[in-house]
Amino acid sequence: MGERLLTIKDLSTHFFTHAGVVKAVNGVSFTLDRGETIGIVGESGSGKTVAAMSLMRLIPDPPGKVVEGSLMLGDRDLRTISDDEMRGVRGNDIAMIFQDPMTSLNPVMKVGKQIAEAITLHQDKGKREAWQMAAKLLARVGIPDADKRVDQYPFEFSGGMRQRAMIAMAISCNPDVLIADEPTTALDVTIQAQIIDVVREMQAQFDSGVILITHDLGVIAEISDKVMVMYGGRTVEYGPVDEIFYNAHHPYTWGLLASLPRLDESEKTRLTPILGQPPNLITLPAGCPFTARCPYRREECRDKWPAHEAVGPDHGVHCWIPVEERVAIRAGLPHFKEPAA
Amino acid sequence: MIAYIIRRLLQLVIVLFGVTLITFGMLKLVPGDPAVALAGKNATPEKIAFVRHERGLDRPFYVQYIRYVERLVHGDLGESLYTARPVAEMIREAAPVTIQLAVAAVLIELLGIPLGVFSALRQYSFWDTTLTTAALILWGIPVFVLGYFAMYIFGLKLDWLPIGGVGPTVLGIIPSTWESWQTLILPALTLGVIEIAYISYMQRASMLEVSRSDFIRTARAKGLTERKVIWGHGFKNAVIPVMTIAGIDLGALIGGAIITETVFNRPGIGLLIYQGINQRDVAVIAGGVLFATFFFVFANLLVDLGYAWVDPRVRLED
Repeated sequence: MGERLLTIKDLSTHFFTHAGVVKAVNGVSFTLDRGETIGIVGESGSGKTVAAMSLMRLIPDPPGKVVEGSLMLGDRDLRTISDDEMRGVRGNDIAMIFQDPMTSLNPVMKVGKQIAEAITLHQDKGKREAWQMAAKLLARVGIPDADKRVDQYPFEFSGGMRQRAMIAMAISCNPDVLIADEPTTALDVTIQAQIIDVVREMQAQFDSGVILITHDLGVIAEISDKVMVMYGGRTVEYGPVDEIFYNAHHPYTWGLLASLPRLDESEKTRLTPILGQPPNLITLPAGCPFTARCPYRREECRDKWPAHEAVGPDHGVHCWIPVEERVAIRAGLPHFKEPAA
Repeated sequence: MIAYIIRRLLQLVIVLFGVTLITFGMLKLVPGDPAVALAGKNATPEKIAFVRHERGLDRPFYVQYIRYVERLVHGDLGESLYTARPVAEMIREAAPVTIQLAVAAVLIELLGIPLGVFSALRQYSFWDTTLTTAALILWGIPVFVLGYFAMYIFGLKLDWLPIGGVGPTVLGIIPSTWESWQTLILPALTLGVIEIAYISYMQRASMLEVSRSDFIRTARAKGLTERKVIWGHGFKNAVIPVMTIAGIDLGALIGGAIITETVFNRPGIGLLIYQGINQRDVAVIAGGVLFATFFFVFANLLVDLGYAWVDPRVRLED
């Protein structure tokens, strides 16, 4: 792994609404190195996107606020630099690809202009040059006829092509960190694989660090080096991708894995859903947010957040169940018939 | 773009066909035999029959309609029953007065766009609340109430402005003297201020909606300044729906002009129609309505062309 790009420590982002304080992210920590991909996985409302937007300082304030933690990009503190400096970071050092390519591009601006805009903003390039670069970028992300396409509007692009254009825009200034917020969720399955390939290629070319936000463990398995599992705004488990898939320690991670279809399953088995509803982020318990849905919950779970527990190389978990007991429970789960541990 | 204009012009033809059919039907449906009226008092049945035949009034409906359209094309709108003057001439005189008022009102109305954006950028602030409340109140006031109120305050009590009439112009519609401008101020404000309220309210809503959209987030994520995000990406998108609304609203503007002209005694199309109604002068009413419709349809066409100019999805589709 290369140099350290990002160091996030104890990030908490809350939204102060009339209904109460929405604790969207609570004490999340992770790091990202050059050339590395971290997958952030969790269901809707688990705080994945808010964590990423906090990093970009794009949380609408009011009502949102980063209330705690340090966000370091190299040696720059993203929480304290000026707005001007932050604008220099956005799109240049940290770029973002969004979930819905249909709505994430300006419908009345030419695709080329939307890409060239970022280039002229962060690089010392004239309009013509930026436009030519935009065409080259489109070709690079696999859009045929890029010279013609650059002159078109988003509505003349298909969903997959728009997402490619989004990627072209994001990589236009060779960012150190690329945040992809559910880049494939809104796309056809066949297009999804192509987009993931494009992201991977671009990462290889530019040697960026990638934060991939998704609820699709399949995508995570394909491209991530390490995985952070989030639930109710908290990191419940964190570790290298193989550890998460074969040596998971948190009941929520088990639930996620059990709800994945498996092609190697010979008999017809039903997918196992995680029962219950996602937590209300206003009335979160002081302890583990997964308590209400956890089949193995115990008394201490609700009221106290368990400390970080190292269970392997770079692999940590927050859970009150003692480690031996966890391994025993997991061995009995249908999904972990041949546990790697 | 050219295909779009051609398509719009073809639609225009259909609309005008419908309108002429309605105004012609209006002329036909009025009780009383026009042949009797035209032949004059104490006319012999032979004379009435002669007039009826001469004017083609004994021909089938569609033949009469085609003749009517033929005459329209040649600028003949018939004669006023009351003054016996050609209606076309009366409309030619009245039209600039109405166009002057409508253009002035539209120019005032456009102030609603910056006001709406201003409000939206400060959502829930003191100024936003004040402007929105004022807009809602104004929007609820009928034109004639506001007209008489303005006339009473600024015309009678304060004696700042004339309470009616029109002044000399250049190019037909631009007031050429200070007095002429003064006569325009009250009616244009009366008509325009209510529209400002409407437009600013719509512009505010549209701007708020756009500012929450994904592509605005994308623009911010690029590192653009807030100014560029709002004006470069947000404004154009936010103004599109308002343009549509403003186009539809032109109809209300013409309706408002009829009332405003009556209140301020401006000899425009509105007053002409109003007097026509009072005197049951059908040819004048039909001519006035025809003009108002032409005006409306034409203005709508301009708005739609502007719309296509701003929005590539309209311009480039098929």
